Amino acid sequence: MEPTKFDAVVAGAGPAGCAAAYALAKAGLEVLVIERGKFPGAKNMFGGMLCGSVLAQLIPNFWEEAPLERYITRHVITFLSREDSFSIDFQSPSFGKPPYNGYSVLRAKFDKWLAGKVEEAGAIIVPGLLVEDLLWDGNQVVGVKAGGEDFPASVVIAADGVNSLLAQKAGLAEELSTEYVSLGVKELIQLPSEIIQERFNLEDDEGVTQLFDGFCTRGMHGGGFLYTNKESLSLGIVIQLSALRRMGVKPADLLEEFKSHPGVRNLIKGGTVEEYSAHLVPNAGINKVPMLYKDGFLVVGDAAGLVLTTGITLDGASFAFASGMAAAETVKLAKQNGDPSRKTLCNYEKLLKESFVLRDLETFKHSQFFLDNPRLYTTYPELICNLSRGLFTNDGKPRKRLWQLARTEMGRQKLSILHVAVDGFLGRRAI
Amino acid sequence: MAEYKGVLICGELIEGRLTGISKELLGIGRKLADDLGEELSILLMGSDLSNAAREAIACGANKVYIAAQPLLDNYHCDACTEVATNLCREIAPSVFLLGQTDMGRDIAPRIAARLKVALAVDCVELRIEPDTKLLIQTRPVYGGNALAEVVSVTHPQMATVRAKSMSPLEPDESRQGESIPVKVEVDIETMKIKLVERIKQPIEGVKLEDADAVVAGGAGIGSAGNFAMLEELAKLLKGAVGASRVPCQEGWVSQSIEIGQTGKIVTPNIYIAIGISGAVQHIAGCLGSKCIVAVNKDPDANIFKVADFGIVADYKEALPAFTEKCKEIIG
Amino acid sequence: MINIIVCVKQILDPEMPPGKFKIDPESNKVIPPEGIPLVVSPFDEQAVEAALRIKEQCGAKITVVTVGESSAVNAVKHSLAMGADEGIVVEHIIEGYDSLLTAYILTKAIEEIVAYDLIICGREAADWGSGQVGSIIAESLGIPVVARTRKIEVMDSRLKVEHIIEDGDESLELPMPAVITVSYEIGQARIPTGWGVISAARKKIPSWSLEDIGVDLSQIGDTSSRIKLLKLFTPTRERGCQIIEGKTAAEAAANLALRLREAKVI
Ligand SMILES: Cc1cc2nc3c(=O)[nH]c(=O)nc-3n(C[C@H](O)[C@H](O)[C@H](O)COP(=O)(O)OP(=O)(O)OC[C@H]3O[C@@H](n4cnc5c(N)ncnc54)[C@H](O)[C@@H]3O)c2cc1C
Ligand SMILES: Cc1cc2nc3c(=O)[nH]c(=O)nc-3n(C[C@H](O)[C@H](O)[C@H](O)COP(=O)(O)OP(=O)(O)OC[C@H]3O[C@@H](n4cnc5c(N)ncnc54)[C@H](O)[C@@H]3O)c2cc1C
Ligand SMILES: Nc1ncnc2c1ncn2[C@@H]1O[C@H](COP(=O)(O)O)[C@@H](O)[C@H]1O
Repeated sequence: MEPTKFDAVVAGAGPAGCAAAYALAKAGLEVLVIERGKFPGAKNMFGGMLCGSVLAQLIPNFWEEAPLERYITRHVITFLSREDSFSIDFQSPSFGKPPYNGYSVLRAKFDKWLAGKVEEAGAIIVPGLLVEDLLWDGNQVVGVKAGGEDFPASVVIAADGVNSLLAQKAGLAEELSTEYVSLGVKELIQLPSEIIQERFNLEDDEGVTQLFDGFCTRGMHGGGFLYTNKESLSLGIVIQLSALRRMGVKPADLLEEFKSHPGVRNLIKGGTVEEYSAHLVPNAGINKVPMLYKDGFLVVGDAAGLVLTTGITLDGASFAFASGMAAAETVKLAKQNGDPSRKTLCNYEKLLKESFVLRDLETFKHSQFFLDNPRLYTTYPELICNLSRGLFTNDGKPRKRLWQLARTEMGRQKLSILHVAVDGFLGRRAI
Repeated sequence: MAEYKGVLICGELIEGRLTGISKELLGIGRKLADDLGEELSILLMGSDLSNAAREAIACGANKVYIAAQPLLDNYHCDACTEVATNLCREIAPSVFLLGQTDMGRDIAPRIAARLKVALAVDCVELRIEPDTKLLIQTRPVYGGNALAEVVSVTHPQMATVRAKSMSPLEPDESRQGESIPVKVEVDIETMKIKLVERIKQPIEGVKLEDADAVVAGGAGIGSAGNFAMLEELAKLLKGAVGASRVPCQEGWVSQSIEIGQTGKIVTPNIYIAIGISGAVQHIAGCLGSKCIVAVNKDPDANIFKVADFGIVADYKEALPAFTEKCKEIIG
Repeated sequence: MINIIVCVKQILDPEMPPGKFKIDPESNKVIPPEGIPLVVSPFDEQAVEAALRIKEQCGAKITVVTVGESSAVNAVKHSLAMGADEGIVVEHIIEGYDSLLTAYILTKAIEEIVAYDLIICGREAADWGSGQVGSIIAESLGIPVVARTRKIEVMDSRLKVEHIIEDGDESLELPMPAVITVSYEIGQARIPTGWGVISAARKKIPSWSLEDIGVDLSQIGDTSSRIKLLKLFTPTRERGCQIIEGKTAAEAAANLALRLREAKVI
């Protein structure tokens, strides 16, 4: 008779769910993954750059077969004022050698590939099915309900992404308030690979990430991003949802504005928009990480808010992989002990505390507060751009020293030394 | 292929007269035969075929093969397959064309299977390659997303032809031709498939395929009852109502008025597509229309890419006003 | 209980956005669009559905067969998830326009399965749209075929089917074994349940090679000895639509009527 109960049911076939399911299936456990998308990756999106070091622990040399777009060898940070832009540009050929520092990735392809690996390892994936609820035996979660069917399991792993329905159903989390999530909108813009390479000064498979601070968010907490793929650019902005609501702006309008900024316009010139997508991302860091386990139940990845935002970078994928793997370790232990209760499952939190996952989030626990400071998105970018303008302007008038320029500029921005000192202090502590 | 000669057409009849597609087949068949410098023949099956034979000759046939058998009046797939295959074996035509009609769809693959030859279905263009004298066949594939040009190496070179894609010749009564009787050795009684009954849906007003104006509705129409608005407009324009797949599938309208790749092909003077998104498989059936008009509330709907005129609106608000204005104009 | 064989083909999603459809002019082949998975040809899904309804009506064992590349196993899995009992992949890549070869291989596979009362095919594969394979299989096996049916009823060793004809349909009776091809009129194909997908995933799906079923390609000859593809290209058909405006929908509609009059189309 075929088993009718799984060792683990994983809800969601994103990076977190796939990592957990892969590790479990490899260890010979009966695993079921339920994914609401028509296929894994169908509707998923991120910026994005994937840092591969964690995944490599799970699937060594994965870069040899995964559908990666470009190896990121160049990182640019750009400050935008209304018209001007100021960039810091870091390029390192060493990032272009195995095991590589990071890759640009398109989720539809990557998630599909990863899910394929999960199936190869022996897990079963049911796509096109939405997990609606949990099955209970007293206080113990004993499976999920999806499409009107019951799927019993020793442990349920909630990998259903940001604002996790299952974590809420399990009573571990509340619906996320708009303060603690950001909305990302992005366009995929097609462009021939030769043009991309030439325009961004790249060799064949090399790629760039460009992060934008300043005018593109109209002062709201967030930023813009651009990633080069093989034959397209991922261009978008991420903005805190509550700010967006308060301002009453449409994200699509902001994106259009961003695209028409002189510092961006030329980068995407000649491209055709292939698709538009939107997705939420948790931004509260450790402050809003829920209780991570319960009898028969674990929460991983975005579902647990395990995303690191430092203001410049956004890393969720590594956290998703790592938490998925830790969850798998714990479920294996539960299988060994024959005990899927919290007594065994608490091991999950222990593993996360020992790893970079909760440590990094702890390190950056003040960043959310710091990053709410509007000066970061208006005053400072403008200051930097205007300073540069002053520095490079040649109008036949006597030149000023940089320091003098800065003084004038600060006056114009109504920025006191005290502000700068406080922001500097907070910034040091936060990021 | 010296032994294969001439172009053969499989004719279809309605009430003793050649159907439109049969005349179109004769039109293209004549051209191909001329390019080959060979004869054009047609096979007619049924009883009382003299009128149709005369029509066929006037439309370009040199020879009419008469398979006189009253039982064939009622189309019988097995019997027609048998008769046509036998004739092909006997006269060995170089090219054998049928219509992409219900009968053609039924019997052409079976004849091809029996003769072990390739068959290109649903061709919209046929020509003889001057050097090789082979038949180049162009047909829409991938639902109309692409056109494929293929050439059959086996003989007879068999193809079915999409309705309205070829032009018939102007009938010329002075044309000469000969009628040749074909022995029909089919015994319907021994055929494995028995006809129990045939239910024809009566057509009111103009036949969809022949209409000069077609008012077609899609999923956007929303219900069977709402099609009454389309009926009214169709009546006013002296045309017929058609539909995309969805209303047929939902049972709002009869499946026999589906327009598209798997339905009917229409080429009216005016085709009004209402609440139709314009999937390739659908527009395959109406692209030959002289003027395509689209009414859709989604400005990005694909139908606007193939239309000549359009309005972006909810048809429930637009259609009554449109019909009203048409009444005024037409008087 | 009868034995039903259903032939299913895996194809590019025929309902993908037209903008995603690209052809490589060098190879005359369609470039499979990224991120859009292959599907079971819709009419073949309906063929499986038809078989399942017979199974529900009078009991049947349903075996699904596909000829294609190894990934075509997904088409079989999908059919199993819908409720079919067994599945077989015959691994061989054929050109979609070589119906004779496709049907020849399927016939050999069917003969290998031995027990069959009814073979159900789709009316046509939604990629090359030939609508031939079912008929050719019937001719090769020397059994009757009814194409484009909307309803199938099993009565002992006979079938009663509704065959779609111009402006109506006819009801036919025929003995089994027989080939039936079905169209969308048969009704919506069911969506696999979760447990259906699970049990399909757990099933072993045998993969047969041409040798396994005694297909000798040198005997039937390669595709180019029957039919050659000269060119595959995308038609141009944009017409440059004039959008007629108006303050309200009704006004736009009235303006449209006037414009059509001006253009002498009404
Ligand atoms: C705009 C943007 C840019 C980003 N950029 C980066 C970046 O550059 N680098 C980086 O590392 N991270 C980035 N991130 C974050 C990263 O995308 C996430 O942290 C990561 O995807 C989390 O993985 P996950 O598996 O936890 O969740 P997800 O990737 O969200 O996967 C959840 C899965 O569960 C499925 N699901 C949801 N609910 C249900 C249900 N009820 N039943 C069944 N299935 C369900 C979903 O369909 C989905 O497949 C970005 C995010 C955004 C929004
Ligand atoms: C192999 C194959 C063969 C096929 N053959 C055919 C065929 O022969 N013929 C055929 O038609 N289809 C065929 N199809 C189906 C085809 O792909 C499409 O699914 C179908 O044509 C869609 O029908 P639709 O445009 O009516 O519906 P939809 O695509 O759902 O479009 C409905 C449209 O109505 C608009 N709308 C909604 N409400 C309103 C309103 N109130 N006012 C104005 N507009 C409104 C919407 O904006 C939308 O554009 C075939 C498919 C396959 C796979
Ligand atoms: N490669 C294939 N494998 C299995 N069945 C097929 C294949 N090609 C065609 N068929 C079957 O034959 C029907 C008609 O196909 P076609 O003649 O190619 O339009 C399809 O609907 C399928 O049922």
